[in-house]
Amino acid sequence: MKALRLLFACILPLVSLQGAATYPVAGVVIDAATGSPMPSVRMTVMTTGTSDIVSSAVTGKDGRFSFALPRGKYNLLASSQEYQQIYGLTRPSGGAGSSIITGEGQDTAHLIFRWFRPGSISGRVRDESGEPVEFARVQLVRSIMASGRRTTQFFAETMTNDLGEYRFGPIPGGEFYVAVTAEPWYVSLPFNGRNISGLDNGFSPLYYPNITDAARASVLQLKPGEEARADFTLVAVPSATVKVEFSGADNLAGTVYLTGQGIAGVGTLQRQQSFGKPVGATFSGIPPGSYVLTATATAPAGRFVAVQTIDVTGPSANCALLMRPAPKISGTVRMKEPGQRIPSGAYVTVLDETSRNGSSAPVKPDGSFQFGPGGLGRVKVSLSGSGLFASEVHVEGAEFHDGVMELAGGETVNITLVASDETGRLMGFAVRGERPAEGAIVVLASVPASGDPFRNYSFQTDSDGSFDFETVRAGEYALFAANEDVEYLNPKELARYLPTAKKITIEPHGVVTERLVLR
Amino acid sequence: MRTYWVGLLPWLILAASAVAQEEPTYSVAGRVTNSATGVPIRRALVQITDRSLPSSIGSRAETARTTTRATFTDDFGDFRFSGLPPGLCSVGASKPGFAADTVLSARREVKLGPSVEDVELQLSPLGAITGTVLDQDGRPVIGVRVLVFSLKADDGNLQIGSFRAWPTDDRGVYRASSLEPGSYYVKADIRAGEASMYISATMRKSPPHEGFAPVYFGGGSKYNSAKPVRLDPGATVRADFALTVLPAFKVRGSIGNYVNRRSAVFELVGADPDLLDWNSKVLLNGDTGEFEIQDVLPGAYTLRITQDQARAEVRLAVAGSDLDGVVARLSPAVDIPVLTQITDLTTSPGAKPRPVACEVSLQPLGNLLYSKVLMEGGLPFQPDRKISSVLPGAYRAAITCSGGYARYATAGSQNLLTSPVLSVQPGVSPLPIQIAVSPGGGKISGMVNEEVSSAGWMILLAPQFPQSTGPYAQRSYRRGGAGPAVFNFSNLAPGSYTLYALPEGTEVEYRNPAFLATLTGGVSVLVGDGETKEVTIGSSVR
Repeated sequence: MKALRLLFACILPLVSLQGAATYPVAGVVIDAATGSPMPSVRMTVMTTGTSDIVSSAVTGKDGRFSFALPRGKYNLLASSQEYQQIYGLTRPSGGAGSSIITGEGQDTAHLIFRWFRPGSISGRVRDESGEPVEFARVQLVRSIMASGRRTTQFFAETMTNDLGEYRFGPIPGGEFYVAVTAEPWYVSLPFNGRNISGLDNGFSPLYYPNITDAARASVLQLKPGEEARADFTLVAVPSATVKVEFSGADNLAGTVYLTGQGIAGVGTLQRQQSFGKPVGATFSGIPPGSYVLTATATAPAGRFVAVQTIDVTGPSANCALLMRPAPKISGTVRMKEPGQRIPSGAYVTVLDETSRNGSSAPVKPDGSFQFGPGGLGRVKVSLSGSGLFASEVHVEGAEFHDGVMELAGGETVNITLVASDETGRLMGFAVRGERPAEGAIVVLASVPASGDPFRNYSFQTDSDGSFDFETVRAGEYALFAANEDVEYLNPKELARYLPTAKKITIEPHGVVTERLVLR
Repeated sequence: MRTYWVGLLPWLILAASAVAQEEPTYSVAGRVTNSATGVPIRRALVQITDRSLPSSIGSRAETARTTTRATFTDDFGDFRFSGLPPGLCSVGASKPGFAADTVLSARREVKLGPSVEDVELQLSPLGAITGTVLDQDGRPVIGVRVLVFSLKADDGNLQIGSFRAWPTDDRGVYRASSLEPGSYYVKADIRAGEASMYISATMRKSPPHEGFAPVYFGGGSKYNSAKPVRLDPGATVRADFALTVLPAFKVRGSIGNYVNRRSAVFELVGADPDLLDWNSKVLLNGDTGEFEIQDVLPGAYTLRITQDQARAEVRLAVAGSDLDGVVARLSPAVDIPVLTQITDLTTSPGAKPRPVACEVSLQPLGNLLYSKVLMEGGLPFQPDRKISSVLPGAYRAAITCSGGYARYATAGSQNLLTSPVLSVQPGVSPLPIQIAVSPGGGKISGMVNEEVSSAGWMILLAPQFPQSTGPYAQRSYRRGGAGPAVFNFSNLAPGSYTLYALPEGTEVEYRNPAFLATLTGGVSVLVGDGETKEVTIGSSVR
């Protein structure tokens, strides 16, 4: 240990020919599971917070890489073909990674890049007679810890080939649910047996591990580098034909999705079909169950949307979808302090509460912003960037409670956001013993506790153990660091850390510096 | 009961009496087999359609409609329908992995009364091409688009017969399935991708990535240097690739006149383009029109960007680094007027004036994936005809006349008969296409003095002078369905021609002079205006 420390002391900045000092960013890429070096991995250095590429090189046979960079804050990306990973991940799925801080006294020449090898999930889908099912839709839903909460998200989907085989790869290790939907070949085109009595069957959706009950679906734990298998056997059951008619505008043409209840709030797509008025859409081979019909369409009059639930019980079901114009969302941002100019770089975000999908619109110098035609559902509105947050949100043209808009279609929504720059900054270092605590999770939770994702913050510390919450709304907070991810939006999980947390007050435009010690 | 029907149409009485007498029923049974191997097929869907009753008989229309019943074959490939009324039925079989039951051997007409046993239905199995794509170090290359396509000649030009792209997985494995028997080109094309759009105030850049030059199975970067894969019915053929993966670069820039948040097609065409190239993987900023084209190997290219009805073309060269700051300005599509002038209207006294008309079609040159043949939309004889919405680019102008022959066709000073490649420049209003047509012309007709096993002959007529709208192709026919194979070309420009007879079904690229040069055994004919030449020819050799 001592010898090593002496070595560190000898590292002095190198001075390039241009005269600007450069510092080494070097190390080795190792397989996180085995510790063996990884050759031929492409390493790319980017300036943190941008997509500007500073330098790039490929690791040698010994897995080593070496860059000489000016003083700065960098992200290091390793990639091998279609798979990439950021420096500082502590687990294969999720996580923010750590930036590398170069400069005087920083040891950035001995980085260990733990590479979580991608794995795959593959298998074969058969029918009850043992024959392969082609065109079965296999959906992968991932359970992931992100931004202080555990969520399930749609990850990928694929179709089986003529042998009934599917394969997802390369994919990161993690927790996955697998869902399979299909229609019997004899029901679909070109075989078209749907109108023949005795052939009007459908396949019940299946979930890993080959069960029909979504509530009992298990997680497939994929280890890094693992080639997991999940085989399925679909069973045909008597099913229904669902006819959908569309109204609300002339010359509608679009796509309609029939989605089953699925896993943990992530619907399992059963079928999708394009439609045109007056033809409508017909789904055959739909097994009994509860579904959501979602349609999006374009017409000369603009973009139209509709959502409706439908229960399929008997041999047929009819559904009339009234298409409404897609919500038009626009508005203005004004500063809380009269006369204050709106800084550039601010943007308004609308986030779907269910799917967690969102879109952002930049705020123009005059304070106006505008979204493209959007979807329906429960949508959260927020303002961020340039040290701003929305101290007040006023919504006209849609139901609005607790920061969430309810969009049912046909709305013209006008949002007024009052922007406050009463934010402060919290920065500091986390240490383990005398060493910088790289990759620690620092949480800044509002006091009293609130589940508001916009009032609770986390930061994965950088190579020098530093953390930096650049924009924090003024107020009272609890600050703590942990060695592992914290589900801090869950009050019960948060409560475990609060007794040892530091009380922090963030003043408007104030800067607070803190040092945190980890075990 | 019978007396009730007296006075009605006799056939209705018969129909009613048949029902009253409890008509006998019959059965149809048989087997479904694989046409390539003869092996019985289990779980094939067999559908029987009753065609014995007319589609409507007055008030009995409901019950008399054709009905379809279906069953699956058992483990021995056998099927049976019973309780069928007498009459004509159609029985067809189908199953995934086999060609559709429109193929004759998979469908039979049977006449019931008595029962029919031993109906054999044959399904033609589909094939697959599968393989592995590895790099120079033997490692799998992931996400390669393997293009599998067949070529056919259409109107003398090469066209895509069938096309699909199949990606390699994390093992570098691809599998192209459900392929009809035939000959396929297999090409490992660039990394999977289309223009993927993002919305941001700033431009997104992606990290460096490796790339490779597209290569055909059997070697070479062009289809005509490749070895097509011959696929027999039901066969699975392996086609493996070993690629040389090299450092690749980005081309970045912005689109001028870009319409916000609408997608665009990016084509990066090399100096010596292939018939079929997948478009590049592109990141497109939907707010600003800034783009980044990925995986570009060093070389000279023409970048072509098409958004809706506008196109930009920029020449660029990529050396050993990323290329930034490319500006591609979209120019709208243009309409090209077409003026037809009919000369020499003097017709012989008493003869009926014949309608004379010409039409122009523009065949885009280069990548067949995005080509769409454009034709003038107006009716013949309309004075203001035009070819609408022509994007900037190079086209081959094909002129077809009826009732006469084109004496000349021009676009400005360009003679379209001798140099048919028309270049449409961005931002320039195009000169009209002018065609001078003379009514009448020469006639060449005749017969082929050889028999072929196929249906007939494909007759090619290649002009031996440059000022022509040819070559022409025609299928031979038999007068009244019998006798020798004959042909008849009319409205020919006076001059010297060579006639070739090729067995029908050999679809050839006859508009390609290099192809015509490979033919031997043709017969030369000289024809004058108003003259008819009778010729007897033998088969020509390719």
